[in-house]
Amino acid sequence: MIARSVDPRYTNEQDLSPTYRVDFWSADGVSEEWRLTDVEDVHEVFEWVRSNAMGREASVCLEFSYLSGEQDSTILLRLSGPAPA
Amino acid sequence: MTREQGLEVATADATKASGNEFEIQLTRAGARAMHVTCTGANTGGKALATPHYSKGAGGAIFKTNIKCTGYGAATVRLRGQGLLSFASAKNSNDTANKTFRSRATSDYWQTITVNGPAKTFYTPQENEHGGVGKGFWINTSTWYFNAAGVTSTVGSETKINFLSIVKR
Repeated sequence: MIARSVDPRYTNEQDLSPTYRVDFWSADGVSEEWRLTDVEDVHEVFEWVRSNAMGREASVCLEFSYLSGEQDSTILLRLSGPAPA
Repeated sequence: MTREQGLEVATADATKASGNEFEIQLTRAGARAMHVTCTGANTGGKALATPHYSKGAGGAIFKTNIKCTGYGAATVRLRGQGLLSFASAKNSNDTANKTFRSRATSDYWQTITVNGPAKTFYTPQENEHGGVGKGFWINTSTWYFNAAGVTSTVGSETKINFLSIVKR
């Protein structure tokens, strides 16, 4: 990991209430996908994951939608765990 | 592509058509050259993930991850075509007289940002799935891309796995 001090003005947009995606992966490769909205913060997400994992591995992502060319695109930004389904 | 005015020369490099890497080079006289490579975004430059049962999809799906790097073009348009086929089998040694049948297909274009994140192509797309079954699953993807009016060569990647994909 590389950490460096920055001028905060290199960004131009903020979303303080993003949507999260959580995919649970069973040992046999089955995925179960959930979309979390109206979330307080990422700590609430990880608490929900702990309550619902039932021994499964969890992929936790942020969801972000944008216009790619002339096409709507939604990207998953991985926060923790394996790649999403 | 060579234009009569001699301002543009473009080549699609067939030697790079390995299924994992395709390359277009565009040279524009008096301007910055373009060079874009689109490759599998998984470990080892692979594009395909193994098919699996998705509860959200209700059956088998697989994904193809592709990223593009280079300079001189902000985006490229990439066409991804996927095919998921299945042949029933008792175990991985049960290989005699197998007939593979198509379970799912996909065919669509996406815009990929050069030097941006990987794009995911799902097979099949939303509201369909490849069903379930125990046996051999073959997934294959074929893709090519366009940039500045130039079309890349075509390649593909294929995987075969013995899997028990069951409804959960």
